[in-house]
Amino acid sequence: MNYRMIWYIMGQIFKVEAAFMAISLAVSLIYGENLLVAFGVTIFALITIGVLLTLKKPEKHNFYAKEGFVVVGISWFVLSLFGALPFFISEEVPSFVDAFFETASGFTTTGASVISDVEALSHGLLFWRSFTHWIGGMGVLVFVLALFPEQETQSIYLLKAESPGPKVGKIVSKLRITARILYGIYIAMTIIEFIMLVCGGMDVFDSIVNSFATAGTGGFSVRNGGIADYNSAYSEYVISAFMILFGVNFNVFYLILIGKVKDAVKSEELRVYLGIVFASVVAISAVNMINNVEGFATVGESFRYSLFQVASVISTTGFSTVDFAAWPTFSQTLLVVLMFFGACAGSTGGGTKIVRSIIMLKSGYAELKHCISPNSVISVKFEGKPVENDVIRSTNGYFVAYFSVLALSTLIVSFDGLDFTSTFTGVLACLNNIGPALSELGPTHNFGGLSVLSKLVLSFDMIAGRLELFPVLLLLSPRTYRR
Amino acid sequence: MNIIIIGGGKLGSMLVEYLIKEGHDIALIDKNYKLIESIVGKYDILGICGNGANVDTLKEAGVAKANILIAVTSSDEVNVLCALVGKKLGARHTVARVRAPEYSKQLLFMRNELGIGMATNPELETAIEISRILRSMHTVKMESFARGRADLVEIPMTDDSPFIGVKLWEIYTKFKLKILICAVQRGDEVYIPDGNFVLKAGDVVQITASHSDINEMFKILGYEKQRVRSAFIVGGGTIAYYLARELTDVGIKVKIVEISEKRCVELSEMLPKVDVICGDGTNEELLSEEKIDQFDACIALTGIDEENIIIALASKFRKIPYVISKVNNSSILRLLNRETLENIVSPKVISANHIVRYVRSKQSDTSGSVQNLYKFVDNKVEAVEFVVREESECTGKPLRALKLKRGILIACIVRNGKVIIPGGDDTIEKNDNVVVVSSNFYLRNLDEIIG
Repeated sequence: MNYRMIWYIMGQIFKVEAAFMAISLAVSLIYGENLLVAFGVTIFALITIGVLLTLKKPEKHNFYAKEGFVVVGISWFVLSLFGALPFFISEEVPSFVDAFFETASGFTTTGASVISDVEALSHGLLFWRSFTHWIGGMGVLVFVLALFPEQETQSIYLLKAESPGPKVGKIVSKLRITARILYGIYIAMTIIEFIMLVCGGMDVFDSIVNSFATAGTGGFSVRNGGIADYNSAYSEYVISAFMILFGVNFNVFYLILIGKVKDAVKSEELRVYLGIVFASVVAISAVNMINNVEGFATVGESFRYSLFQVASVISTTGFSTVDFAAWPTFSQTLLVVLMFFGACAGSTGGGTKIVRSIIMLKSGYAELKHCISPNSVISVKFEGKPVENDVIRSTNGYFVAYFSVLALSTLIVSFDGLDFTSTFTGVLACLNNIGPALSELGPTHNFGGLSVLSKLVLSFDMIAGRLELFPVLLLLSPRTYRR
Repeated sequence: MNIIIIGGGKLGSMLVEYLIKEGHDIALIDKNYKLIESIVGKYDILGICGNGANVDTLKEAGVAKANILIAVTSSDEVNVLCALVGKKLGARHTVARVRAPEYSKQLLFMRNELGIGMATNPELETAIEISRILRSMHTVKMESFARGRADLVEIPMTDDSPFIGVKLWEIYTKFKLKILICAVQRGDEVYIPDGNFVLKAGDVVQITASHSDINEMFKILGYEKQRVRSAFIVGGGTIAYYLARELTDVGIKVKIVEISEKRCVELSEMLPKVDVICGDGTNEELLSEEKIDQFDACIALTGIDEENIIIALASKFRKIPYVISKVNNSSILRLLNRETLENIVSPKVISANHIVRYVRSKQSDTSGSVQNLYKFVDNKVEAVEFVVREESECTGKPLRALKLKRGILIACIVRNGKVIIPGGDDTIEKNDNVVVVSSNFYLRNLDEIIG
């Protein structure tokens, strides 16, 4: 393995994190908060290590899939470790494990929180907390790819390891340009959302952090009462729309940008995604209205609340305007099903991704046909093209790994003695980067009451889920480090 | 520039390697998904799995904005179709590999009537290259510029070479030779030397000079001069056919050993002047029986690299003066020691160089366009020949007044058919051919030599 190269790229990542943190420091200074030490020490440490690691350029540039996985896996853990320092040093989050959980939850765009009184945090830390969503949404390595001109950091394996989806490709021939286009679209959409929220009367700071949280499909709120606190239908609709948009494959936006709207609309994944959103909104509105759930009195209100919740869960954002833990069992179950699906590949959302479910269902159906007539040859097609066997194999492998991690984590977290629904959906919400779960870990509760072990396991799950398991699982295998 | 390459085989992937270094945007189309995966993992290009002659696939690759489309799949017909479709869809220039001898006579027709910018035939190009090496009559690697007026030769410095220990600027005064040493390979390092450079034994030097000075130099260095009158070819493939045709045209006696009986019949029909022997070219006894020892040259052109190397080594052992072998596999090429086998031809490399030259000529603007391109020392150094089409910043001034970039050397200027080995007072003028040697640069036009 090319360790030199791995350290070098890690060094660049440290520098980038320091730069992002400096922005947060600036915000805290604007609000006149005393966070100079908390941020300063961390930034200094990051820059020192970053400069030391990048002092010498590696001679050998060979960089393969394994190196890509390892860099991405290690750097996400290290990012969260350093990102947690300001919370810990400032003593606003006294336990380091809590701070780590909170930061990991931020970077992985999960949005599960251990902090019960969010409004007590200083602005600088609130900004940093939501900013981690934004950084983690599109990915730090993608940012490094977009930023650094050096030939040596240009490897498709970095993009493949960090970007979600079974088939990651470039949208233009140059990796750096691809990364820039992705970030360009990302930044532009974040700014549009910010402007729309400000126009709706939300204050500037809240608009910024909520835009960050939506863009990364994170879900950290800066109010104890969440988005409902603003009590504005307009803001809720804007956020709903953007949650759905950020759950769409960014290639679709690129196609629209270059004028190929027809091709964009043809995307099978997009259609299925929007179809699921529509059907779920209709189903939840109807069931909740029939069951006379509080707030679902009129069609308008039902639409508003169910749209927001469906968008929030399927895009894996995890905002909430109502306590869905109090909904009828059917609606809750439907939300859990949506949690499994997650957003589209190539978006900022988490979950198992719509495309994987489509491929799995189609190959399952092909298998069924195969049972009936064993000699038939059936090719699985997606987006009108046959799916390569490799992709089907890796999708199968992904689901096996996914359910193994899910089962094992649930088993460990169950030591805490919560009821089954909370334990299972809690792990699910972390692994799929959603945030709030059901029952005792629902939107009106938080993860603060869990044991240290559970918090560490869930932090691991969040990072594993964000990176789609393999980069993180690879780190656990001794074979990775053998020469 | 936006370049679409169709076919990711040996030549296709070599082109990707060459062209990506020059900073082009490349889209590679191939039917083999695994192949695309592995090449995209290695180079920063866009890979598309599909048929390159398919309109949708080409559109996906962005053919409308492509400056050059290069079709190098294994099938000639597909290549031509790709080029035609690509041209219609908006590709500015097209290159197609057409290798079947049946089509070799209609390459010009393809260029003029079908609008294919360049039809390349690696086998024919290789045959011409081999024939040139044989006729240059020296057992050294040689490349010619300005239509053969100036040569670039590669010479290893042996212990007893008269050039050793002499400062380069003294060579002229000492030996009355107008030659220019433009690159020296010492171990793994490559130097673009200045006048005070001193050569050591074991160096491999690249020298440019006019044809007559090169011959003069060979005399001083004690290289024997011997005309090739007969050539023994092992392996009767397409290159062998072209080569035999070339050689018999200039009166060289040719004997081909080919293992397949069917192919032997074909060859004997197509090449009446050539002795065609049916048998295994790796069989020592057969070679002795066919009196290989009495030939001036042995050329190993079988389809298997390893066999070619063995045949070449065996021929060297038999003291045959000229031995040339074809090696196509890049990994093997890297392993070979130039002292054991000095003359190796690789159709893939020859063809890739031709195409890269074409690409650069389409890229450069008016002040000077690339005529010839030759890479040496493991592709680290290249010699580029430009034609100066109009006046520019580089023309009309003495060379010492030009601020050349480091690692750039003007190796020779050809004016009105006369070769000038340039000194500080010489100038570059309009209509000159200029050969520039450079390391670590990819020159596209002449103006890029000044920094």
